[in-house]
Amino acid sequence: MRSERNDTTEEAGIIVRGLGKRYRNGRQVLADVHFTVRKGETVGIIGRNGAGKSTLLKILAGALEPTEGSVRMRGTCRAVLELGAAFHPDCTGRENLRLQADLWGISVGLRQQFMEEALRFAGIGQAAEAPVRTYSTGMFVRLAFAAAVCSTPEILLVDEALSVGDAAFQKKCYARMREISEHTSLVLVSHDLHALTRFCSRILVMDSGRIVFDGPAREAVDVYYRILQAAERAENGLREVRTDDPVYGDRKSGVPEESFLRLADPSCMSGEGRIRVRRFAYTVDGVPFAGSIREGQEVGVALEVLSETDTDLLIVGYQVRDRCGTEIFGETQVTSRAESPEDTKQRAPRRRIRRGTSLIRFRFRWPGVREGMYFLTPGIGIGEDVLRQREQCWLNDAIRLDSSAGGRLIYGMFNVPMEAFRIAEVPARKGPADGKEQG
Amino acid sequence: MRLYQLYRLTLHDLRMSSAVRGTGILWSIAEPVLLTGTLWAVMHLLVQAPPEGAIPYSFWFTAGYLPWQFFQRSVSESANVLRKHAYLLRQAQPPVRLLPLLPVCSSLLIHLLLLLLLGGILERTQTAVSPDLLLLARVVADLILFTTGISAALSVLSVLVPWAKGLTGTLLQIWFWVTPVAWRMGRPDFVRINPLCGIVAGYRRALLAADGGAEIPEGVCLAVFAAGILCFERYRGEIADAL
Repeated sequence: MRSERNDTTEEAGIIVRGLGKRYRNGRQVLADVHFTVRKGETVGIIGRNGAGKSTLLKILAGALEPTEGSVRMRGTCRAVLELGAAFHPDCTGRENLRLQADLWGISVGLRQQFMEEALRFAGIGQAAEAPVRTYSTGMFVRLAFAAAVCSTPEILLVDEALSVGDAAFQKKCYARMREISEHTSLVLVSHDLHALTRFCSRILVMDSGRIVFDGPAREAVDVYYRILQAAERAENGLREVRTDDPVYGDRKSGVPEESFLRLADPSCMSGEGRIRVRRFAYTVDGVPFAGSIREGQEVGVALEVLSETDTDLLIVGYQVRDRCGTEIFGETQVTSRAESPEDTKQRAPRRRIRRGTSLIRFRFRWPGVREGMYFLTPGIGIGEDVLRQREQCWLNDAIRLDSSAGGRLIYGMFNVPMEAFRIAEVPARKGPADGKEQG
Repeated sequence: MRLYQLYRLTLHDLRMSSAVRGTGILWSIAEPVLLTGTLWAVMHLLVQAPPEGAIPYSFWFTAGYLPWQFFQRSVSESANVLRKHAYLLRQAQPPVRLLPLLPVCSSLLIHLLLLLLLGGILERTQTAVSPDLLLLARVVADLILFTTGISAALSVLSVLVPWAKGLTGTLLQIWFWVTPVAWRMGRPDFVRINPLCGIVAGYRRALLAADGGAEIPEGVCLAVFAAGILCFERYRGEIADAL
């Protein structure tokens, strides 16, 4: 999609027209890329792996030559590309900064100031005097990023570099970028959608070497997730489940049928194992084994379990954790009082399971959590109640889902909507309590 | 700006190519000076070669060896210069065009120092008439053009053609023996098509007023320079892909 912004040439920091790149092996990685980044604008680029984001950034930086089209960069450009930097591995951090200052044309008078500022920002301490080949990836990126931002660039390109830094450094980097963003055109490539949507006013979505969307950040994330889901369907050779499709016999419950079950990985199982999950399947809005999800979509889970015992105290549930392992939400059939259509029809107790093989199915709706990667753990236990259960079989983090907020702004982990809101004028009171000083 | 970058990169290159860490660029410069001095001493004291007219063989040899040494050092390093400095290509607006000039510039620094030393010794020992500085400047310029052309082409070809780098060492050895560094120009005549014959002869004429037996191939040097730069520009876009 062509950028339709009316950017005048004077305002533009980066102008890209008809850009294409074909590698020597004949692989076309970019085609017909057009966009403009205004001075002081912050633009994100997202896309699946292999979409052409890094290649595009390298071409903008001048590290790669395009085979078609043109790039005009108006101003001094710095780049932190793919965890790399123009550092000589045998030189110390300080020596490398001096070399960078020389190459960037920083005058001798300002060189010392630049180096001190960059070293202070990088916060690598005594390591500044050690060869950079001895640095960890995080330290390397710290120094590379510090060198780039402390040289007051007019254009700054950052490709995934911040993903290796610790949280405190990432925060510092974003704060610094926000500081310089008034007079610097920023182009960021990242898979951290949460950070990008907060930081960038505009996001380009790339797919198969083309820009397929250029617009507001939240809409861009939605487009990106639609691309992800389409790609997953194509890769797995799966179709979206339609309710009138006879292949998916369980039309009403919307959970996957037995023929789609996959063997559960024993390495992610925990529990006593008297009731054990053999195979499992899941769907997102009818798409089996989908990798992405957004708020409001339905998750269906099917567990084929082998029970060595008869029990009337079955507890089936799930837990969703974020990538740091923090438990975000979860539920059991006991506490949610869910009943399957079969339960209603056959009046079978919701907590009874017989010795042998059974198929357990449940579904729930995905809440409005913030963008990011989540892991779903389906689990089975036995017990009077949830707090006093004996864990039988948990498939820890067996299902990975990349969640989009569906264009909504999420302020924390998730939003809790206000149930009431009202503004009322309070009439001014008269007398000693109206704020006058007492004598 | 570009000249300043080239100057800083040359110093950096010399510092980093020094075999003895911590000596800065001193060892990088001292090493070839010591080697040339040793070679001169061996030729002067041990090799009983007859003088070339009034000129001792050691001086005659060194006057021809200096341009060869500059050429050989520049070309052999240019075969590896892009890989060696690949880290510089990972930054925004990388100095790609400067990289093939680095071996030529660092070798030139050493070459000029050696010329100064040889000129000083020749003056002191009054071995020959005073050096013809104008002719020397002309022949040094020709040598720089010729070497830059070869280095530029080789730097990019060694990245794109895997066997080019491996072949460079062998070709340089053969080239040394078809260049009249250690022997007097005579028959066969076909060796005169080697542009370095004229350059070596030019150095001897300028430094020792000795008849070199070949003309300075100015046109050829200019053509090689232009062809080398064109070759580099033609394939420059593929360097990053290949690396």
